[in-house]
Amino acid sequence: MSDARYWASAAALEGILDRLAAERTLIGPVRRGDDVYFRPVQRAADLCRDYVNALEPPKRWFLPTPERLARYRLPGGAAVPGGDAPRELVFFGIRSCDVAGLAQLTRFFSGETIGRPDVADGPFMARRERTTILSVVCQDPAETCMCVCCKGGPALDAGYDWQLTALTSGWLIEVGSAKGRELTTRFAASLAPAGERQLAEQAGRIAGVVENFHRHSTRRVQSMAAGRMVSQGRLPEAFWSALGERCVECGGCAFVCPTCNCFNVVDAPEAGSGVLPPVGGPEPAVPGGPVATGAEGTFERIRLRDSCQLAGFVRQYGGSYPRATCGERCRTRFFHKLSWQFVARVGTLGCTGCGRCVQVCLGGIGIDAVSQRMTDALVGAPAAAPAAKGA
Amino acid sequence: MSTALAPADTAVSLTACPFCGSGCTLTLADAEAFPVLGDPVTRGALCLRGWSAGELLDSPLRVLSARMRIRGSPLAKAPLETALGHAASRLAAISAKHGPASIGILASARLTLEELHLLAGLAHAIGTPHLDALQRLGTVPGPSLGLDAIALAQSILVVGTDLSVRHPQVHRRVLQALGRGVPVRFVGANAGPLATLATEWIHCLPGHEVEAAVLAARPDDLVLWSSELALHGQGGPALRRLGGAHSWRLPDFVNQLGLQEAGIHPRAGGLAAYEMLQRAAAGQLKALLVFADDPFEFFPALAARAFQGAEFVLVTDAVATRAAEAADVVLPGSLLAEKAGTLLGADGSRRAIEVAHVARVGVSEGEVARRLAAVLGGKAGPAPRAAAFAPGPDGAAPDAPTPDYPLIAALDGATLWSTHPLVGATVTARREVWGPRTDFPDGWVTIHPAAAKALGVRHGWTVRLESDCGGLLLAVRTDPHAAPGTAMVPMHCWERAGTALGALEMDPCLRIPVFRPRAVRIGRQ
Amino acid sequence: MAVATHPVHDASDLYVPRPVRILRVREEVAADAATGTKRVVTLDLDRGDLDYLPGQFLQVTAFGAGEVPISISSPGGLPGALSLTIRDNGVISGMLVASKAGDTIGVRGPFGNHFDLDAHRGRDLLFVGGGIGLAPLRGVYWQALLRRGDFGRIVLLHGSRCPGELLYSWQWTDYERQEVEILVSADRADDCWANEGHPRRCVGLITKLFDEARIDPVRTSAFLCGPPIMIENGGRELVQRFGLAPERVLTTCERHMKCGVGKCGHCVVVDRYVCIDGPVFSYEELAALGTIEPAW
Repeated sequence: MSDARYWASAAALEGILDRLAAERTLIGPVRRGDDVYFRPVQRAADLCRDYVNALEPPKRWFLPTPERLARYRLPGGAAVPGGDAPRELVFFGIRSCDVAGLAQLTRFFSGETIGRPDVADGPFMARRERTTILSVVCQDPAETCMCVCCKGGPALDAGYDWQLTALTSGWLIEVGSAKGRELTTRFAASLAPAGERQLAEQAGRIAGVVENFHRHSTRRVQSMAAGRMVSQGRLPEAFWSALGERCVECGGCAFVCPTCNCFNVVDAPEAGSGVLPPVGGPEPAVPGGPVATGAEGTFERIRLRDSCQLAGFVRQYGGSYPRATCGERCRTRFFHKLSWQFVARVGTLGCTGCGRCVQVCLGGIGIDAVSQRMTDALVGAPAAAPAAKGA
Repeated sequence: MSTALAPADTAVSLTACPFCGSGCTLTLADAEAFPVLGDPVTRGALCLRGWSAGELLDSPLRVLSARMRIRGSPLAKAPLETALGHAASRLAAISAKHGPASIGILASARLTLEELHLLAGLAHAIGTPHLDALQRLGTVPGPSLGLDAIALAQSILVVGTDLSVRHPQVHRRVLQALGRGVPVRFVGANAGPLATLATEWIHCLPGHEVEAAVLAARPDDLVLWSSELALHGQGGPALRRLGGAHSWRLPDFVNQLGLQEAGIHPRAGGLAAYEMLQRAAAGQLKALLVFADDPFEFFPALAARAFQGAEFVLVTDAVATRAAEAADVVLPGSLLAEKAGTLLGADGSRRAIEVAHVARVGVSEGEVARRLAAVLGGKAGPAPRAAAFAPGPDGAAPDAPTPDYPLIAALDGATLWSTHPLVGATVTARREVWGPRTDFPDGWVTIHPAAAKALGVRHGWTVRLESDCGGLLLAVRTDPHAAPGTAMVPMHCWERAGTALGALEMDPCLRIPVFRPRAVRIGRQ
Repeated sequence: MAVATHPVHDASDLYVPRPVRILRVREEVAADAATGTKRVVTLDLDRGDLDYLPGQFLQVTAFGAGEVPISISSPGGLPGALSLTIRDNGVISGMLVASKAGDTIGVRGPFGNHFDLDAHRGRDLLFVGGGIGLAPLRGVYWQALLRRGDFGRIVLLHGSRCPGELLYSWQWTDYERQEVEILVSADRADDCWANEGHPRRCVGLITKLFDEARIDPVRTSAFLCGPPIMIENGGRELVQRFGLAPERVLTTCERHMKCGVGKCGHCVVVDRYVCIDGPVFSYEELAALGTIEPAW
């Protein structure tokens, strides 16, 4: 959908961002020590330029934890939708792997992947629709990046409103949506149509990133082999239990993954209004929650990020655990990320190669290590030494 | 378009996870916790407790107002000043009537160093020698290395601790060391996944880890251990025989080393924390001041008697606990995320934390201590440096199995968080960590699946666990990581099982309660 | 992917429970600590304009405690009450079970796919309900009874751990009058069971009743619900031993759910969302899923 391409000078872009920051909330990368965070800024000058990506995934702006879905008073009050009105956001500096993840989440939460727009997730869609995505193509991948394996970057064909590539002078801007076209119309005075040389420079830069990717990162998502193994259920129980030995069930991989979206929903007494249950009695569903009818007070239905790796996630009513071992739960995760069944359902691979699971895993089993193990299993190679690459 | 934000106007504040001794650094973006990638300890990872830390801010169990009870009435909300004033006047009266040594103070390993100094100042202002923390778990000044030591180690010996639960950042580095081909050997019973991943699992029964480690240790071993050894009653031997230059006693809680720094331990003429509860129960200690701790967590029966026996109990905490329910005055504390201050990392170094979230109530445990000290002590001034803790003689040795009692029962250190009040105030960590208590509400005993089979019992069945002193009913939980010959008791059953089996004892060396490993048998109900 | 240029979505009531009044509470099974029997009640709700198809479920809120998925146990398209049969399995269901007439609970839905009775016109229908598993089937067979002439034999097999846990026995005489053949079983019997009573009964697992039912495998469609092991074994027996077509053996899956609308991920089995693609699945579908991970 990149029908139109423009060029803006650095100053012109800064001016555009300053205007947008004044009218809406501009979120972009800021530095704190060695780390980058996406935070609201007042002015474009507050943004940092030399970064790869933030460990916090941008999805947290669309799927915050906790998020209030409803609230009600007892006795007798009717439940009303909860949550604050979403703000108009402009997200600048987001990377392609996260744009691809957001695109997947949008297809999921809109109900498109199941053909059910009637059950679109209102809270997510409300935030998504009010966000303008100005992504920036990555030209300096990190050691944990793997987007080239997953069609997750360094540049994309769709998913953004604007996709920007930094040139020696100024920026090349690709428009990817109607919202992006509205922006270019509005800021026409600051933009020029992209010239041949600028287009060639952009293409050359992107090609260069791909060609030289291995100099930055030697990690890979072995999606072909992995896809075959998980989709056909060809990995034996021993494969998964070995992984289960390394997983400490921290939930981190799900919390940082751009495509993960599982959540928990609980009705909880509002802050500070809970009471401990009687000693020796049953435990409540949430801390401080009631264990008998007749509760009073204000309650909030909130959703919280969750992970299929956790035992409590799969616990059924009455206390059975269909995926009782950690290894079986690892199988669930990697099936969701790498199987053809999910590609068929969702339209793209469940992994965009952002590399966060590599950074976040206490057990050293990021998707690169796991897909490598799957490849070894496919070709019948002897299993690697107890640990795969260190994190 | 480049300048970094100055720390003063950054929208990113760094705080510490309030749970284990790893002391990870995290940010709280609108109540959502994220690890910090650039921090050398955290390196972008948290365990589920850390990831759930943001859920504490608006937990239903936050203590957001003061409460007080007068003459047997139920606890009722009261203005902070009224409750504080009431507490001060009760303490003054008790001190005047029974002497300052009738008041005991229980501190916490999840307060900042500054707050701990204020607690020491409060003890000094009151004039009481009784200042300790149940959360000390036997920590005494000892070797503190850093994570770099693991990176440089040529061989590693892990003694008696399940790192994946107790020290996840250490667990991570040990796995990385394994990946580099460094031999990692595990000594003990509570293994967790390291039992099967380690280069060698040196089996020994609970209580015998120190001997086994000393026998197995090689000169270039980096030795890693934690409070489990002390909780088996082997704290003294551990200190003496494992405390070499290349040995690291891992702290259990985020600022447990701060307790040492602030001189919070039993001193000459002063009671240990557990002893304070015993004396209060006997009516000899008249008042208890509890800060960010819940004595009911591991010792509910004793705590109930202690709170009954004392004339006045003040609990200051950020979350509701059984202790707060039973107190005479409850004052709201703050979460670590709501405070600025200093913590001591597991390597003994100081690190600063920032206010990451506007405090819900604006009063902290340290502030309460300061204000009480000002009222009660007049111009007492800062506390003098306490003398170093002097360990006493070793306690009784662990049991050996006998033909009639062929298994050894001991505390399962990996269940340290199974009743923890902060964990219990979250949704996600609570579901996972407290979760087994939903499935086994009356407690459990963990044995190896082969042992279960040999006994003819199955996972979920109720059995009688008994020693030569007595027994109790528990559900069976099988776990392939359990060591053969053991029957591990979760820590929230410490008092009940310890009392029934005759295992709950006071260790004279470190002056902490322990569960001395006992010879037991399992019988069908 | 079409993200609206201008906002279309606002605060969603997708997750907001609607209040519904309880008209009647009937105890189906009394709690018995000695046998570990949990209390089961049927709540008749004032359904308002809520309509649904047989096999669908509601996300039911016990205000203050939270939400659980409950299959609907009454037929659609009829005025009158909507029935939910609920077992005390935990805090939330426990509070629902303790509710009284006049109380308000919350509902969202209906959700899920349904049993398409039209696809089985002219066939014999075999309903196999193990324990509380009979509750989701009741809406279906009751619906079939409303169009009795469309079907041949209707056979109802119901089994439970012990006689005290059998459901809806107060309706059996009514059903038999409408030409429903009922056979019941109990894993273990008690004194009143020993009285060779009516309907036909036996001691043992519910699958023991399959032979008794004397079904014609070519003409029969089967609908199973119960504990996972019953669905797995029962389904396999019907397909492999009796020769029913695997696409004609249907079951409804129970799974832990938080949203009911295919978002939260809790009910995912392999690549299916039980709340969207199910809860009604054929034995054929579940067996295929089972090659990746057990789907029962």
